[in-house]
Amino acid sequence: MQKKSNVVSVICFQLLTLILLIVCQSLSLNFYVTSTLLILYAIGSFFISFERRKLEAREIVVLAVLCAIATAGRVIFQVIPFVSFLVGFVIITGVSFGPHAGFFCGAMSALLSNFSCGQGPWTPWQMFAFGLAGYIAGAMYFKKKDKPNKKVLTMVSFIIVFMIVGPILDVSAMFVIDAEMIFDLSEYKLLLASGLIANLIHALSVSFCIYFLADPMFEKLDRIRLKYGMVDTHEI
Amino acid sequence: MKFDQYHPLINLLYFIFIFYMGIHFEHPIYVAVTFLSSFVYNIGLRGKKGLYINIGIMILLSIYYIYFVSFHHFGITPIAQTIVDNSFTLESIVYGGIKYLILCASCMWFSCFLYVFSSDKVMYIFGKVIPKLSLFITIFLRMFTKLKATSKKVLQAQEGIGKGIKHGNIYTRLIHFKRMVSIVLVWFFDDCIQSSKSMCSRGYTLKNRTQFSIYRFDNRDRIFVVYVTSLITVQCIALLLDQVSISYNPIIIWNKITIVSYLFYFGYLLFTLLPLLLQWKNNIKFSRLKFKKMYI
Repeated sequence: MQKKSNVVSVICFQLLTLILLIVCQSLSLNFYVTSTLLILYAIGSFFISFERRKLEAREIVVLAVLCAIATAGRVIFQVIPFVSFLVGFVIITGVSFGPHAGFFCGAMSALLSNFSCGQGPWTPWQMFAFGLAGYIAGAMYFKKKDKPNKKVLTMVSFIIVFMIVGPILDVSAMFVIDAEMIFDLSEYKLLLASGLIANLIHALSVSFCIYFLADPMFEKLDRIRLKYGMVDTHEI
Repeated sequence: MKFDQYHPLINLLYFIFIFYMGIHFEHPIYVAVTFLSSFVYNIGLRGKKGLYINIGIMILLSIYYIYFVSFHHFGITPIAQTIVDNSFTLESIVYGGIKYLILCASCMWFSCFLYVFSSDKVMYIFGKVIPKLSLFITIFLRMFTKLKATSKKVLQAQEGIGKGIKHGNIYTRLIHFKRMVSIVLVWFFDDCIQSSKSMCSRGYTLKNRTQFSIYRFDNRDRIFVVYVTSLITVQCIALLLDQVSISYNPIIIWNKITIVSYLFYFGYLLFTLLPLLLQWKNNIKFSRLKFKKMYI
């Protein structure tokens, strides 16, 4: 029964996405508005599912604490260009509390840290990219009995940030630079090339964070689970 | 009795229209009205501090004006030549000034908006639509300040025993940093879960949790809505009659100013100054009441 409703909801989601695209096409909206609407739709549907889930107060509190730590990891290193630990903590959240919690933590901490780092047209893109990093890490490692090896997780997080988060954020950079807000493939390639160093520094800082802080964080989260009786396989 | 005493929905409605009109109406008289009223209103809300904020905004944004004029050369009436044989044109200078005023005005309006629209109003408006998320954001805002305070305490204690982040070479500093982070996390997590237990016992996650708020929609708010909507209607008529639009690019072209257009300008002035006028009216009323009470 559960599986059947899941399939139906996935089909409805895809159909609604298609309808949104067709409406945008017929209204001849430009690329930025269309893509941002799509992203907001994805994030919004996720938050609706968060509203419906039955959560205990301590689970909300643990998520809020992890978000606060992730936000602090970005705000502290604001002075040094391109360095931020945010994605590192998001990946840790995803691995230890499941993909949904990872996505939620990434999206919310991107939104809330932007109150001090500056809101702009890049905010939905950052929410989506950071959330996706948490979701992928959670989908890869959650529900496995052993915690992932430190070195492997470091490599994986480097690849996630360098190959997925960086390119998504580069798309949003194009709309800030270009006033006409049109997606141009050759321009995108140029942007990728010029953003290589920024992405590299970001990925290195994240993997540094994972290498040094992943094991102690897992230890602490496990201890909290044991002490306050939050079940292992239960997703937040 | 300031504008922030009104119902939050009304504040939101008013500021949405203010921002829309202030940014989209490029007619010079409209721009001047927007600028002046935002200047006065920020002072009316914040007092002397508002004046300093306004002057700071104007000085900072003058850099933008210099940039705009020196790099834009559209228009057909040249005034002077630069070193690289580009010409300063009348149109670009006027348009730069208009853009500068619009930017200043919107920054000042935003400063007013931040004063009027505090975070509990945000919670009131969006709390009913997204109850769990709003609870989450409230907790988060508390946690973030708590995290700062906790890490300050731990840092001081660690410096006291010679293991702060400013002791030793880079490698030992890193180790000290890691040690500090782990101490903060353990203390912080336990603290927060303790407080979550007390939240549970007060029924935070029960099904029909209502949010307490002191706002109610009374007659004063209804009157304000009537005023605002009628003034917005006047501006819509102005928009339909092309009184607010103006072309700058090759030549400056605007519609003829007739007697009716003065009516539109006056309506816009009233619309932008409405909260300030109500504030003054209430102040006079209250001071009169005080006067009566003293002598009767």
